[in-house]
Amino acid sequence: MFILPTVKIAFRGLRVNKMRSGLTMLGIIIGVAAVITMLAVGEGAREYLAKSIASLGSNLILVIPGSTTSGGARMGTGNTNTLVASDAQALEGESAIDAAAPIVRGVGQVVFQDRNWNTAIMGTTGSYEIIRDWPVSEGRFINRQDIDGMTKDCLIGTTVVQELFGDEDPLGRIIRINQVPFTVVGVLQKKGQSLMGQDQDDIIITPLSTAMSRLFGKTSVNAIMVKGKSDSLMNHAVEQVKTLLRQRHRIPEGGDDDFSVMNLSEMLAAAETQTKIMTMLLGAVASVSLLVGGIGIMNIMLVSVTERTREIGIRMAVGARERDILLQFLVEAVVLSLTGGVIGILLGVGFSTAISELSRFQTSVSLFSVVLSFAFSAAVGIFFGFYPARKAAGMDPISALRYE
Amino acid sequence: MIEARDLVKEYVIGDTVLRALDGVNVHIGRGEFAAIMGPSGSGKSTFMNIAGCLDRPTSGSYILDGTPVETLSRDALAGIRNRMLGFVFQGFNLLPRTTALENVELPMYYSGQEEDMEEKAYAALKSVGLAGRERHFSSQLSGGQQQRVAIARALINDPSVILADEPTGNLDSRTSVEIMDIFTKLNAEKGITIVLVTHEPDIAGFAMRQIHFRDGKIVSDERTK
Repeated sequence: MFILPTVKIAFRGLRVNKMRSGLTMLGIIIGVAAVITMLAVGEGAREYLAKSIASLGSNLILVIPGSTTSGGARMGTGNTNTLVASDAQALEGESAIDAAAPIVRGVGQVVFQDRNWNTAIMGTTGSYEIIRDWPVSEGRFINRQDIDGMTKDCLIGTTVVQELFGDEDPLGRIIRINQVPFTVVGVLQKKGQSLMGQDQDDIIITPLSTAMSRLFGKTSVNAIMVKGKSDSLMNHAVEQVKTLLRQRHRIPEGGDDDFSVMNLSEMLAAAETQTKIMTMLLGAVASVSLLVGGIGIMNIMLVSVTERTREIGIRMAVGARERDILLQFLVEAVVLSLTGGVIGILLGVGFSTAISELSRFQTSVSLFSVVLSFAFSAAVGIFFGFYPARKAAGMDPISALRYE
Repeated sequence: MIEARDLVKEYVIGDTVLRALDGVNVHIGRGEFAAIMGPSGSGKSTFMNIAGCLDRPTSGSYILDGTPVETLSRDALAGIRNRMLGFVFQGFNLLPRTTALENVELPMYYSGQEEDMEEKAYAALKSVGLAGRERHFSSQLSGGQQQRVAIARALINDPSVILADEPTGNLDSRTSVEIMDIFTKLNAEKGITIVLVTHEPDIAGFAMRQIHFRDGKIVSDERTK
């Protein structure tokens, strides 16, 4: 009953000075819009990363041949032939390791009837399904018999299905990969983009043995993907991989590894933490502009109080108490900052949407950032409005009335 | 209604003490219409400030409707100004860029009224002859009209006393008479006590009693009607 008329008076005061109110609000609008946009960019990056991590699979260790240093000379990784399929098999026997899948990669031209498509070809074992958490949506995954029998069965990703088969059912059809005929036994579930922005569904998976001998003519594998038993056992699993491979490769004590082990899950988690820090940093920088906007409010309110000294005198003469005047100016400041806050939120949401529309940057406006900005702008209004309001309320009615 | 006992008001300006009121004793009864006269610097404005509960005496006491006012808090004084007193100033003192209606409604905001504010303000404006000008901004009104708005504002909370500080000082003589007629009518019909500061004898002639100030003292106090 007491606050409503005060709010009315405050709105009237602001309406009377539209230009000034607008400019004062601009500071808050820009501040809030900046906070919202920056947090949205950061949050978008974090979500993107989290999604990528989820699509990669959990507790992942990647083993690739070669090492970063070899006999003093630095060597590139991945281009030596030290890893073999039986390494993966041996790794699966370790206590901290859930599964290990050897992988050979290449590209190939795939033909079905009159259509053809160039895609990634990967040879692996049934363990890959568990490791990547990537089951088939139709048909079956590659199994033991495929590997042992070196069958010409294959799985295809959804992009390949689209390019080669369109609406047709691919199961049981024969496709030719680099002239070799393969039977499609399964379609992989859609996986989406990888962290690097590659289409993970543009792929054909064949039995490891078939790929090695019939497609690529290889005796070693490009990589071994290992899944640890659990999150807490990851360091242990990495140790086991290293120990076992050194033993199998007969590397003497003190000799350099002929392979590299990367804990992918850990790397991604670190990246996620970094993104979080970046988000907070962006938000912090943006909130500085909010603070500056708040100082703008205080500045204008101080000018306004001085300029309206006579008005304050009149109000006091007709019976305004100290708290009426205090509340009037405080409410004016809060109305300014909150209106600015709301406009800023809308603008920030608009900017964020525009950013994700116009660039490949993914943004995500969180409810948290909206609530935070709103609360923060209210706090800015109260904090920076209080001193000018206090000053107005403490005026002497006579000198205020006589003020020219 | 208004009673001053040994009222003293001193202002300290630098090293010197200026005694604006030097022992004023006066009693203005309910329903009286008193004019306060005197040259500038005679203390009449200081007296009006104290009478209007805008200022406090240095010593002595001021009793408004039986209440010794000098003991009250700032907020209590604000309450008295709001409900018991109505002010009319020489410079009108209307809120700029605000309509006549909103100016008149102003005291009601501070008395916590919420119902019928607009109707009451309409009625008050009509009673001072400003029907049809409710939505005009104060800057769009003539001096006489602005002073009528100020009177309507002073009347809105049904005060027992109206304090008018040179209400005709900025008006031409014809408008002055119109304004004074309103005061006379308010005094006669509603029994509102009116204290009017003026230095124009014609204007003072509307009052029933003329009190002359000089050097912070009352030098004459006579009933003229």
